[in-house]
Amino acid sequence: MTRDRYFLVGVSALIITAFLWGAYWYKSSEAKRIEALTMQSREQLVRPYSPSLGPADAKVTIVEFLDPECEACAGFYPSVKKVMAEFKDNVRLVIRYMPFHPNSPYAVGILEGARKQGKYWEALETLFLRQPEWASHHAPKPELLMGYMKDLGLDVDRIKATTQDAEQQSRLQQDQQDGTVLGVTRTPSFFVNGKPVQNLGYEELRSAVETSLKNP
Amino acid sequence: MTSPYLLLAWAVSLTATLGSLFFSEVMRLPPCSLCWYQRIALFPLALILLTGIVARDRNVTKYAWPFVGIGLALAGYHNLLELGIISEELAPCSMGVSCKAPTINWFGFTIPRLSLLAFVAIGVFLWASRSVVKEVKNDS
Repeated sequence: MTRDRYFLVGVSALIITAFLWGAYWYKSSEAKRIEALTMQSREQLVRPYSPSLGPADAKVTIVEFLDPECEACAGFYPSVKKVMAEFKDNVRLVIRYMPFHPNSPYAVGILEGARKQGKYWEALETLFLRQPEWASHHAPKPELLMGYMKDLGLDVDRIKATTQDAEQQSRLQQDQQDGTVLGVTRTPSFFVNGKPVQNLGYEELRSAVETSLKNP
Repeated sequence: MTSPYLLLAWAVSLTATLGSLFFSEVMRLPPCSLCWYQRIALFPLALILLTGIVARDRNVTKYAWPFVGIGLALAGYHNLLELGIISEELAPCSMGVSCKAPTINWFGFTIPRLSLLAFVAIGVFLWASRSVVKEVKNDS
């Protein structure tokens, strides 16, 4: 090998190693920082007003930061349901909002309106299922949302009142603030018993729940 | 014989490329639009210089200069913007990520500053490598 080749190979190896080591170091220190944060103040992760599914004293709490207008949240929702069904009474799901799209705050208002009439999970599922209709990037049609709620048999006027409710808006702001503190930059983001789930995937979420069940 | 300066220019471009990828892929900092244009000028440099060195093509600097030039112009503009020397009205990034607000600041080294530093270093090393080539020519 010539001097140049040694230099090329050596420098490449050096820089790439530095990159990989840096990535590993950064990720593990971030995970530790967020874990310490969630241990220190549980309330940032779960607020008493947050919608939740499953027993309050479940061994494992999954906190999902989601955005009703986000495609990945809709796409991943069946996996969340699957994990919930698999672990039954051992898990509780808490929903927090992290609106990243133009119509998300409005959609959150609709969901919260449906919740007041006891059909939160039905409404969430409907919004995810029909997302291609109302949340197209080129031609979003948020006006369709009320129609879906009507189809669910809900009182549309009461939902409308919730979307304009000041308390609802301050809760949404609180969710956003907490999410920012907890380093939520993408949706959906999951925390299982306070530990952030690093990669999005059914297996990742399932194994995080399993690990938390074994070592509570 | 490849100029050592050319090797250095390549090393800087590779470091800057991976550094930029570290910010976006590891630290998950979304690049603003001006950052994207600088990345378009930067990433090919790591490959063009590498190919030129391996192929022993002295013309490689000629192919690299346009990228360095564009990168220098964009990085210069970005720094003026960040330092507030150019007013906000001229800032092209009103949507998405702000080009003005620094996302990181390590002892005064913001991301646009690192970008400018990288393009200046690549430019200087490319310039230096050219003069070495000339000397070699004169000797022979």
